[in-house]
Amino acid sequence: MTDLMQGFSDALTYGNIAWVAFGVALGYLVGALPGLGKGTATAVAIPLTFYIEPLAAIAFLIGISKGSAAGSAVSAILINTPGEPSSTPTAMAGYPLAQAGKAQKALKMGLFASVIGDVAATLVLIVLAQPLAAFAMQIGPVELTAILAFSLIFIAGLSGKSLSRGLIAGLFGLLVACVGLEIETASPRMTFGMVELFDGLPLIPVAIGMLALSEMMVQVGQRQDETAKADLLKAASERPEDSRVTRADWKVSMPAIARGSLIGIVVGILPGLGTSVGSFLSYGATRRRSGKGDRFESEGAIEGVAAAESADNAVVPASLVPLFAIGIPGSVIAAILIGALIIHGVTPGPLMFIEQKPLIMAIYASMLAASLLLLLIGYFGQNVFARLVRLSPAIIMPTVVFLCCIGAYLQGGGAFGLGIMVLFGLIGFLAKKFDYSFVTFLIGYILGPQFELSLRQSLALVHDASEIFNHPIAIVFGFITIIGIWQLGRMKRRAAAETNATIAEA
Amino acid sequence: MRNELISGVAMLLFGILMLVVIIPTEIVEGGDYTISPALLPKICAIGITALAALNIVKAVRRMQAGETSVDAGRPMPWGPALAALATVVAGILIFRYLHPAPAVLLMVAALMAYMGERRWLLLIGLPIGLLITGYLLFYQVLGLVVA
Repeated sequence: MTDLMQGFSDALTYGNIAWVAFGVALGYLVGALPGLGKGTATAVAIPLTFYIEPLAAIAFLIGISKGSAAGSAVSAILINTPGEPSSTPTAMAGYPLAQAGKAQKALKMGLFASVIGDVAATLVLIVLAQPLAAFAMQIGPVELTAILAFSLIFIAGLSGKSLSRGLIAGLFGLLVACVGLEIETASPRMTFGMVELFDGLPLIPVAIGMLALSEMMVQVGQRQDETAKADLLKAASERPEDSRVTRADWKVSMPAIARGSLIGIVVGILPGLGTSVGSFLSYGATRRRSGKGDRFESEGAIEGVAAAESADNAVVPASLVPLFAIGIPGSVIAAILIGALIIHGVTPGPLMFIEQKPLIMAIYASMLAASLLLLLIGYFGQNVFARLVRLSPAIIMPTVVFLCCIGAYLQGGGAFGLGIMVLFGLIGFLAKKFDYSFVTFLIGYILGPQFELSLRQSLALVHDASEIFNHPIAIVFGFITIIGIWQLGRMKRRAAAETNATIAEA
Repeated sequence: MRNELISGVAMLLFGILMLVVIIPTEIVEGGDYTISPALLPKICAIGITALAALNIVKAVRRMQAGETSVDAGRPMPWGPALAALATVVAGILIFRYLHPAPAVLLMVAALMAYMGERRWLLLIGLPIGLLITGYLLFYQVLGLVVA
């Protein structure tokens, strides 16, 4: 507790709070704009942090991710276009409310639920990460190899429609991570004689290409003019109770928020599940309990908005638990943050709690400050963000491309970085088109060096197959991995069969 | 189904290319007392090849069984995506061999026009605005020279 108080005193400076507020506002804006997700926003913003202090930089990026998670509800409720896939349930329950003149009420409840879910998950992160890190300190390279392999397979199985395609994406990520000088012998690998590749492929151009540029390529193909959408805020009901959250709304929404926060926290801690799984699970559970059936979507449901938004926002801080405790990024946001932390001289993992404890505590304090700022900025900026939702993609996308180029140029060693960004933009587009999980690729790419190091150390330590029995944790994770592959394979086959049956019926 | 087959064949060819050409020529084997630097790349390439072959077999079997299935992935047209990428590449080339200013102006304005923006004031104003912002950020605030 004393450490956390010290963290607050480090974090609550005018400069740091200004960066957090800027991050939350920027994230809220980007989240509100359809088509731009948390990952894109955070990746593009990393270069802006090169010249600021590590704490302010990390707090700024976390502010963006929190803001964009909450902001995506704005376009979902007002124009029935989710800012990102995880806000689809919000659109299902919230857009009918907006059509009925209750847009303000739905937006406010979405914001309150987001903040509650976010604070709950941040507190869980604060309580859980350090004990988990202490446990992680006791594991050796053999155990770490097993845990990393388990995480990659788990993520591969859950982040796409096919386990085998997910595994291919993860292996491709590991392969790309091998480019550059090898750790032990310092011999160049797959550098094709290019000196620029000796340090490996630069993370930021790869991430910007895979996330932002590829998304821009997709959006260009699906370009639509959203400016003609109805202004539902102006068409608000004249009854004051339709524009605010009443006691009755709280009564019906509180259980949904509690359930949503819990679901979001569990989903966030497990690597690979992502925000969409959290919001859909929470929405489904609340819909079933409401007993309204199809009226839940046809008339709209304030508790549906609360359920989806609380879970969506709880996932973001919860996904930092495995990142801070073990150094394993369980989501796109965590994967990008790992890059940002490394750029600022911080190596995520259990040692962070020993070597840089004050920084961690200050990050926690900044995260809680970000939650409060999210509430204030979201509440008072609601009308402004609602207007920005109607900006044309023809203005947003070229601006994003410009920012992508700046980021890739700065972090990728000049024009070389721009080339890498274009190459991985194309690869990201192909991955999206053919359903190869780019999330698994990115996480494989980021975990690659750590995985290779621990694999090499394990091979040096274990000379005989029987020696593996000296590592029970590795055996447990190996066993879970095998069971996981089997179960995930079954799950995917069943889902595919159900899809085919639905198509055949249609 | 067709997409699964095409991507399976592409990944199979990639895996074979890695195993037969790129890894042997681009990675030297380690000495007797070290673990080969090619170990992890080989594991990855073998895994990709095997899984791609599995995907091909599964896709062919489903096609033979006459299963109707939606193709995996999102429907994304090639033309606009490649045109957008080509615009970015053109911008980078102008940036590399000419100057950053015309590169930004051309890239942003062309993308806006391609995405349906027809208001000339915006078509001129936004690229110039971004250029000025970039100039102020890099040259004045950060003290960098981008060229």
